[in-house]
Amino acid sequence: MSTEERRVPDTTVEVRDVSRWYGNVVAVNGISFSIGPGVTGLLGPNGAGKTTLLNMMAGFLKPSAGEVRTLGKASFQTPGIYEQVALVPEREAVYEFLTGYQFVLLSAQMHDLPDPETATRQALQMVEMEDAADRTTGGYSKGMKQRIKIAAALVHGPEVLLLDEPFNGMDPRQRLKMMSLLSHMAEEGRTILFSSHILEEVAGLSDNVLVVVAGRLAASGDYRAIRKLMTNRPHTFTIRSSNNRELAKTLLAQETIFSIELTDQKLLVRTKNLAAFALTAPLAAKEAGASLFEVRSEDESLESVFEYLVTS
Amino acid sequence: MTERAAGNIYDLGYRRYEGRRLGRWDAALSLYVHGLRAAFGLGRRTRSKIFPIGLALLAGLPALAYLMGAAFFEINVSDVIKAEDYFSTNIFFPQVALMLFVAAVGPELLGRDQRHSILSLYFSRSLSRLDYAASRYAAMATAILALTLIPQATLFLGNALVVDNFGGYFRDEWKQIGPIIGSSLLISVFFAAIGMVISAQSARRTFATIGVIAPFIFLPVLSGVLISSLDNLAGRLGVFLNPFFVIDGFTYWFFNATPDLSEEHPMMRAAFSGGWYFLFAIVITLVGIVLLLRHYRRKSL
Amino acid sequence: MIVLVLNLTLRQLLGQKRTLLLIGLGLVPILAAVIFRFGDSNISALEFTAEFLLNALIVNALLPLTALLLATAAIGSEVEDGTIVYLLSKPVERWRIVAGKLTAAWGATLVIVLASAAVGGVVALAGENDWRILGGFVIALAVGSLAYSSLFVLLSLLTSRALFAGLAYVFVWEFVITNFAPGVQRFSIREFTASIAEAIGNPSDLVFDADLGTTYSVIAIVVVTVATAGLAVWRLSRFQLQETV
Repeated sequence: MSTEERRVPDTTVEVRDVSRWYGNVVAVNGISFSIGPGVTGLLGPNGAGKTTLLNMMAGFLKPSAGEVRTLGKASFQTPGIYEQVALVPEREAVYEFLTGYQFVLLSAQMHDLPDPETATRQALQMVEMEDAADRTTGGYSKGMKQRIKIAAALVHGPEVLLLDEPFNGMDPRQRLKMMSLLSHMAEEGRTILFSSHILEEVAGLSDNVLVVVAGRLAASGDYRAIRKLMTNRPHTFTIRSSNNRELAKTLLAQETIFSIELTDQKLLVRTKNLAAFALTAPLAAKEAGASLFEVRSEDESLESVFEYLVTS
Repeated sequence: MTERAAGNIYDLGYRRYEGRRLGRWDAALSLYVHGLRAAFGLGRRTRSKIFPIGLALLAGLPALAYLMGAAFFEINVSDVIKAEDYFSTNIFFPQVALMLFVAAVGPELLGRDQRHSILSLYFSRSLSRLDYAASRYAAMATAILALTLIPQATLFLGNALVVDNFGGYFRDEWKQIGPIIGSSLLISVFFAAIGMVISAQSARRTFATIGVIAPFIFLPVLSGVLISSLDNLAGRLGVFLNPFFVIDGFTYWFFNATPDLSEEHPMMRAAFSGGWYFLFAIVITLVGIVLLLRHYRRKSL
Repeated sequence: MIVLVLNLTLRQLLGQKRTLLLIGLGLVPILAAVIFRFGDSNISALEFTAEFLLNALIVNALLPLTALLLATAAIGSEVEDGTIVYLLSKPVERWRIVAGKLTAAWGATLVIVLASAAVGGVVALAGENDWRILGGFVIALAVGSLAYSSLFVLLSLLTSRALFAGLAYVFVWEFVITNFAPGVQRFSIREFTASIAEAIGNPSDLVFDADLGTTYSVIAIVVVTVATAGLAVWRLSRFQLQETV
């Protein structure tokens, strides 16, 4: 397929107000975004809801609320989307009794490709698995299983490729190879969305990221832009001390402080400079003659992710 | 950048466990308790409880039905269900419940640890391989004992209460207590031995469960064919192939009771005295335990 | 597509251990027939074949156990391992996947059950003139194993505890409850199978007497098969990956 022939819409996957809960546990909480051709990284700590999101996009989970559309169609219960959508699941399980070649060939045949053998060989070549193709997948290492799963997903040249932790178990060299393969596919105008909890993977492959924390979308867009937003964003702290009123007065004199709210028990302090605040707060307390009982960052969970992003 | 130290180790406050270490016996004991709870799905989600608890209820159904009858309809059915008949082929379904229970619980106790590769963790502690197998076996046997003893005890106490002469009933019938406990114990260790040996062979639940059930289903028919086809000692020995008849045999022997069977009944045709069934059950149980221990001693992880 | 799924599933089913267990089970009826043959039984060969061999051993025991083992292995293990994703992430109608899976489970069950019945029957009936009973059971087993397979495939898609649900159906429903409430026979695949065997192989009620009417049994077994297979398709098309958060 040549690049010219393909007409790709700007938005290939659309997630609108999507939530998904399992019993009392909310895995994904009111997330909206849309992605288009190119590589997008889905970043977040373990248990953030990345797999749930990917499974919903791939049509393997029904959103509890909201709507997921892939290439313009509702993802769930629409087998037709798999003509152009592929998922590489996180779970390692493959048909252990099949050889690598047979496993990819099965995928090609189920896609009803005109020349499944050739497509299979090409896919195996892309992930550099030709040498191991005649061994049964049961004996594969983690990285090899990962690559054979990717080959099986690539075999029909999908427009949208969803990968759940694709670099797990790969060694650094394979990781680089796989990254360049995915970049290459993105240049052809395909949509690649991959999840990871490792920042370097995401930073190395895509500018465009989605950050998910505790089931919510914490940030999205260009990685550098998010980083910039971060430093300008005020941080909120609550402070309890022996003399809140006096402390507030002293703190207000500091130029790093945006605003201070004084409630009955505590101070709500907004600062734009985290590091400077950490230095000045104790000094201010000393000056005010107040002992600090508690200094707590208010937007902790969000903050930790941003910090994670920024410190790279 | 300014110069940094080449490397640093930070004290993050990790602490070693300094308390008393309980050792082998306590490890085995907690494994036993855990196994006993797991047998009934306690501490697991509801789905895991349905089958074992349902089977326990099925095994206890005659006792339950009897108590309900006595309590609500004042039917005095004392001695309608004799203790020696409870787990016999006469009222066949408590036996079926026991069999299904063994088939469901055995693979649960042994298969899980294999599927999730927990054995190497257990064996790297003070627990030995034999301790593991013995604890699991003991948990299985105790679980079956609960299924056999509780209905029997209920029935016994129920009878005593129904006759309005608690002391009198007790004086007349106390001799039943020994056989009840004895036969229940032997049923438990016998079934547990068969079930656990087979369960240990496969980590996959499907296999192990069907593997445990298969002999209980096929052997009785095979035994029936043997007895009715061969008129010699080999044919007579066929009665031992039926684990349910073995239970019948030693239970009647414990109670010193003569079952009311027709001439054509396989056990009558086989004409072995009850002691032989008792001996057979003991031997099978011991062989089963030895095989189970050997399996775990030799198992590669 | 159906053939692809069928081939894949047959390869799944034929792991060595599994096959060994199945062959072991299949040998039991044959062993029984051999014992009968060499023994000196007071029951006739026809009665033995009908009552013991074909009804008690094969229809009541071998058939449901084999069907349960194979159906849960065919689809339940794929759901458990998560490999079902590789089948579902294809632009293939869901009924084709169910058809492939069901055909494989049924076919494998059929091979075991029929081989056991045929060999056992030939051993037991050798020298007899009337072989109709074997013919009747062969046809009934073909139909009955499809109904069982279809039911157990559905259970495998409905619950991760399909094995226990299947066992409860076979032993508690078809065996224990039927014993106390004979009316339940009207809802038992085992009884349908026995009735069909009787209708074809034993017109004069000579040796084997089933409890249900033939017409009812035929209609019921078709309804059960079609309904469970249809529900399995419906269930698979709404399949959701179970994951823990």
